Amino acid sequence: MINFILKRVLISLLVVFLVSLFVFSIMHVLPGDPVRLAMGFEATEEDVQRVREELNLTKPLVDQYFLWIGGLFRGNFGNSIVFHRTVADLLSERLPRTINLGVPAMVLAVIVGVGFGIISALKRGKWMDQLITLISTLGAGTPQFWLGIVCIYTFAIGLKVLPMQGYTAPQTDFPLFLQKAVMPIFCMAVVMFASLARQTRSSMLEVINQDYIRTARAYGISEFSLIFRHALKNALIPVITIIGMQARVVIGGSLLVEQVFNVAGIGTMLTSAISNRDYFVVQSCVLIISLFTVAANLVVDILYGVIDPHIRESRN
Amino acid sequence: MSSRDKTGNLRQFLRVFFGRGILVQLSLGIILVFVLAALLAPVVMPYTPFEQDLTQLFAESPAKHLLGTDNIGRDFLTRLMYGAQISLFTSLVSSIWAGVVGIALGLIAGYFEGFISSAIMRLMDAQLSIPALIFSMVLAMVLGQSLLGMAIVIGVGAIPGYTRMVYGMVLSLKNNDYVTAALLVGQRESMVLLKHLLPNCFAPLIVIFTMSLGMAIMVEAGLAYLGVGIVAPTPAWGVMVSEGYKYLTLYPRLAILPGLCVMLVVVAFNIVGDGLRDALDPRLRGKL
Repeated sequence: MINFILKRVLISLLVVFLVSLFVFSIMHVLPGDPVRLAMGFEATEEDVQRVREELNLTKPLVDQYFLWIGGLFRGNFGNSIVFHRTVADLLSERLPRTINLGVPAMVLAVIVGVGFGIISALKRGKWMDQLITLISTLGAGTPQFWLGIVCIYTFAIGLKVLPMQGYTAPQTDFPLFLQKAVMPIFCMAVVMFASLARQTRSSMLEVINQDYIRTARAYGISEFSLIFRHALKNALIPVITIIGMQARVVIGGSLLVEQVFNVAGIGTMLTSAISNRDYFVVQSCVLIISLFTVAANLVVDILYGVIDPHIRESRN
Repeated sequence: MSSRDKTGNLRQFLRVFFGRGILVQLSLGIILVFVLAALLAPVVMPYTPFEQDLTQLFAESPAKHLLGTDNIGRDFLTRLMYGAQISLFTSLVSSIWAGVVGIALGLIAGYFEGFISSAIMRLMDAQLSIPALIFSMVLAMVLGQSLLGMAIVIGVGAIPGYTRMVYGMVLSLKNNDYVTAALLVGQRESMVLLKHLLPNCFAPLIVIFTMSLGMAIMVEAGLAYLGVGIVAPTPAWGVMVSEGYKYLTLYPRLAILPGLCVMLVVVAFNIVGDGLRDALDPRLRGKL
């Protein structure tokens, strides 16, 4: 068991290391000088050079890499070249906005997606199943930015029931937060909902056709407890993997949804940071996102290993 | 396999594929319409996608311009049709190139155990831990925002899907007797991989390929919408949505129609992919 966990942790660390190498080298291979871009062409060469030195950009690349990684361990994510602030400072300002939209979207998607997936499997082939399958197929194929624009056109411009764009913190004005957040949350949830509903449906179908369910039914166990106490537990294992991977869907989706709804969160920050070559913002954010995803997968993996010895064996 | 078996298989395949109902047929129809629109755009349209008619800004009369004109007087339908060209081209090129690389990596990783195998698979894990859109954005900065550059970038994002699938298949197949037999009679390992293992992956590969066509169009549109993919004035659908968004209140069609095109094509590819999966190999249902 200890061996198994140790191995998974080491592999995860290796994956995060590869990501850090990738994002660091890509950002530094790019042509163009972000400091010059940020300071404008009226700045003197001395000033630009001074800022470059302050940011350690004049050191050899290998040194820069280790300075960056070393900083991360001390909680120093580096400085934004464009915003003249530390990345940690920017994150503490913007992350709550992305989380306040992303987490409700995820919760909504999990509840509706898993619920619809179960209904779909139990009503296999009936109109209810077909309707849910159609909705999730459409949901998976709808571009989030377009869905956002259609929502804005319908509810803000047409029906005038919701504000068009923007973001208000829930602690400042909760009703206003809800009004502004409902469309972005919906747009983010739709994509996650689609994959969750599909996965739940197919793994539920697989489970309810198995012998032990038939045996349980033969013993006269009520249909309700059959589904919710016996089948669901096993059917949800692959679904949990998918939920574990939703962190990257939330962040990926936030890029588009925040742009459409004009929310100054992580998504809009990353988009502008990548175009402006704001090295530390991109490097640190991408690494944090990947760390988050890898950690979620690791936890799911270890939990599996604890629950199910088969998996522990096969992955060892 | 005799030729009669083959036609029997084909008939069985077509029966299941089209037997899935009106949706599959409708989706094939949608794909056909967009392919024709893309191919025929230069032939049937009297305008180019860049030509401006400054007396006809936001024109809405269908007499001269069937779907009207945009904010600088370009024919909207023409631009939509050229948009189809761009989307289909990038998705096809990216999916093919991702397929070739992904399959090769999957075969190698699955067949050779040890260092190579884990190196390849950990690289795939690393890539999958970054959201696809962010990964492509970063890579697009290096490879440039040309059409071919975008196709390559989007393709890189699709490689892990192929690699993981082929890897899994090879792992489960390589201990079969026929593989051992082929090796015993002295066939080279590379031949065994290509002639005996790869054909078994054919069915799921077709499905992944179809799905990745849709996914590529989605990523391309998203990048273009954010302004980090194909850039204006190229008539990519994502670019058109982003430009049209400014005029949403008065001229909603400018933002809504190009996005609708993205949705129609992506959903059509997904439905065809689902249909192919069930028709080619029912055991894959729910696994891809």
